[in-house]
Amino acid sequence: MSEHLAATIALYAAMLAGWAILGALRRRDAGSLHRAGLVLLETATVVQATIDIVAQIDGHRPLERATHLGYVAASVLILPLALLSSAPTRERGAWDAAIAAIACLATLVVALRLRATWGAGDGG
Amino acid sequence: MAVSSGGARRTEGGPPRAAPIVAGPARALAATYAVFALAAGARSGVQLATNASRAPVAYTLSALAAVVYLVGTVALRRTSPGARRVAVTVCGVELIGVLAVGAWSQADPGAFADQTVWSGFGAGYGHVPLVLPILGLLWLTRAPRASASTEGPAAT
Repeated sequence: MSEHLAATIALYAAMLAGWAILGALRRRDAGSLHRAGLVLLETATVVQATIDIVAQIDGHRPLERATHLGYVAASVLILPLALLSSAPTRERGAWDAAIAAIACLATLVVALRLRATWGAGDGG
Repeated sequence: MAVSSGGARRTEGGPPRAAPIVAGPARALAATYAVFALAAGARSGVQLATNASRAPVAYTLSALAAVVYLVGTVALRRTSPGARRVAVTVCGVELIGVLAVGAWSQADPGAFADQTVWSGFGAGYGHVPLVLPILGLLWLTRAPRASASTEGPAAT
């Protein structure tokens, strides 16, 4: 796991969540640019998971290894799973923005938990 | 979360859709249930795999919670009357579960050697596990579904 990437993911997810919440409050979908932002967030979590697994193969042992692996899986799965509940693109509205906000907030929490369960030392 | 017709403005004059879109609040609830199914499932899976003997009651309860959330995720995304009944049951079981486990964990902390998703009324998860079934039941009992309008006389 990369400490910097995890922090970046957390901040970025918070930003996307705020953006989606603003959309929901204005009773509309957050829009296609926001969806592109979600794709970038998902990409970042996949990169993060890859770095994480490689570091573990290289010998790093997380503080709570099993729990940490659970969070790695969750970090990658949350966005696709939550967004399954969205309407087709043309039909999206405020509630789809709310769904995106929920997924972003969950990703934010998991990014923080990834850092907490990684353990001190060679975090990189 | 009490917006009238739940977003999803239909394009007027457009072609009729084959599958009706589940109303917005139900989809938002389903998304939250999906996140919690993942959280509880991953948690209990990890704990049962690595340390099942340490707190079997707590870990089994987490696994049960994961199943409840998973069924809720699926049921809330369907529009049929049957799925609605399943969703009501799931929300009811979840509410009873979080209240019972919450009270139990307060009264007798020794019974749980480790935390569960429902310990302390969901305190470890920002009390979302407590709020979620209440919102779900409110939605399911108050909002009539378009496809379930012929369900029964007591649909108000």
